[in-house]
Amino acid sequence: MAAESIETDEAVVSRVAAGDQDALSLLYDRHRTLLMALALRILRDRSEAEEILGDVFFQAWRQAGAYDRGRASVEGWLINLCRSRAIDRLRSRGRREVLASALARDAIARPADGAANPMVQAAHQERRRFIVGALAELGEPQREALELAYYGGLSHSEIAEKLAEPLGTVKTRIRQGLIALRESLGRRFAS
Amino acid sequence: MKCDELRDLIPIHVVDLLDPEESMAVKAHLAEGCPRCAAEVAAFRETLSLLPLAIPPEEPSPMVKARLTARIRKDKEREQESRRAPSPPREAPRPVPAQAGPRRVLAWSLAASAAAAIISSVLTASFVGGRHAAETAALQQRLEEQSGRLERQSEEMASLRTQIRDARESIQLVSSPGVAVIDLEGQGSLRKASARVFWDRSRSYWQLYAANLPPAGPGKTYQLWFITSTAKISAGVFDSEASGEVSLRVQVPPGTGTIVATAVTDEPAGGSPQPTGTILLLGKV
Repeated sequence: MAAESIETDEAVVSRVAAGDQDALSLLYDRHRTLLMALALRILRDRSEAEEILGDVFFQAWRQAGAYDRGRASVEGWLINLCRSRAIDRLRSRGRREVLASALARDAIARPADGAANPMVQAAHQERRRFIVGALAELGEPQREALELAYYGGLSHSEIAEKLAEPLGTVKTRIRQGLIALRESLGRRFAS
Repeated sequence: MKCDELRDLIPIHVVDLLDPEESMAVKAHLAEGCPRCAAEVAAFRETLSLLPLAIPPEEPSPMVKARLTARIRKDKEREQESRRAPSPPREAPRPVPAQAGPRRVLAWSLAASAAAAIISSVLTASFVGGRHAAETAALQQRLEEQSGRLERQSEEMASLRTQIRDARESIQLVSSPGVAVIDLEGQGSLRKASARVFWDRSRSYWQLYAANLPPAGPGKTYQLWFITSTAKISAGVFDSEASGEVSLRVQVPPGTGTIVATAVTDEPAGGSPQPTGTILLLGKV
């Protein structure tokens, strides 16, 4: 298959910054399923997650000019915007208890219906396997503590209560988990 | 607090789970501009932002995009309206519309600097001529020192970010399939020098790393050449660090032809259209 020249995310964001609505539409199509999955994972409510998704891209539309490629990839930037909006929403509605227990069980999410380009999808699947593999290398307690810290929006005492472990233990697990994940990803990138 | 003591806290800092005192200690240390710890924070943040990639993707309802498109169209219209606003109103004045993003930010920053100016003049007025003049001067000096420090820190952060990005790109480059490697050997007096080119054919660029290459010296420069069977084409000029190291990235222009070799020569500052100096490094493809 001939390699199409695919416009980089950075180039798309510069067009968004210049007020190009088609560019935003392209950015949305590229990242919607990932960000939807993230918002849904945090909020566990489809309509709220969709609302956040719309807000994230509207924010990207407004703030594209301030995007700094030295700081994060476009995807990383969108992920951070999405996580922080979803966590804010989570905290504001005070349903952390319910969500945290749902998180601990790690409900099974529906797969996407595959509207994206199959090549891009294959690449995403490959990358997913990569990260899932790295996470699987962590011990279960480390993975659980890390995911709860990232997706749960809990304070440190809430997280300790949730995992029924002393705070010090929880922090140690998060630290070990993050360090191990970083090393594992580094090794996988290198090999 | 020392870096070593902080090391353990950084992973907890990036997930916002430090105690308030620990959090303040980490923030204060980072504000001092420690490059090592700032790089640690950046690396852990990046690791964290990879977590969502493990979740199976989810398709949102098509309504999300429809609503987003409508919202952006409205935003654009408002922006255009407010751009027209300075001209005299044709009809009765409109109710104040919600300001568009960049304008609102600008308005805020103007308001903020106006406020700062007012505060500063009030402060100055109450102090000037009084016995506090010396204190004012000392405060002002401290303020200037602080802003200088802040500026240096932002520069350091920017350079760190660039370093991290470059490192990530280098890792991707050397580990991606379809990358050709060309080794260049030092010639003549520079036998100790060596270089390696990673050639990303799919994206048509070369990343060159060299070692033991002393700086070119005053009025001189190094120049890299693409050598084909019929031509020598300049790939760009460069100089080495005092350490003798070079990291250089160049684009291979379309229509360069089949590259069979590459060389580095020394040339007068600014470079030459065709090689005129000595060949210092040479490698065959």
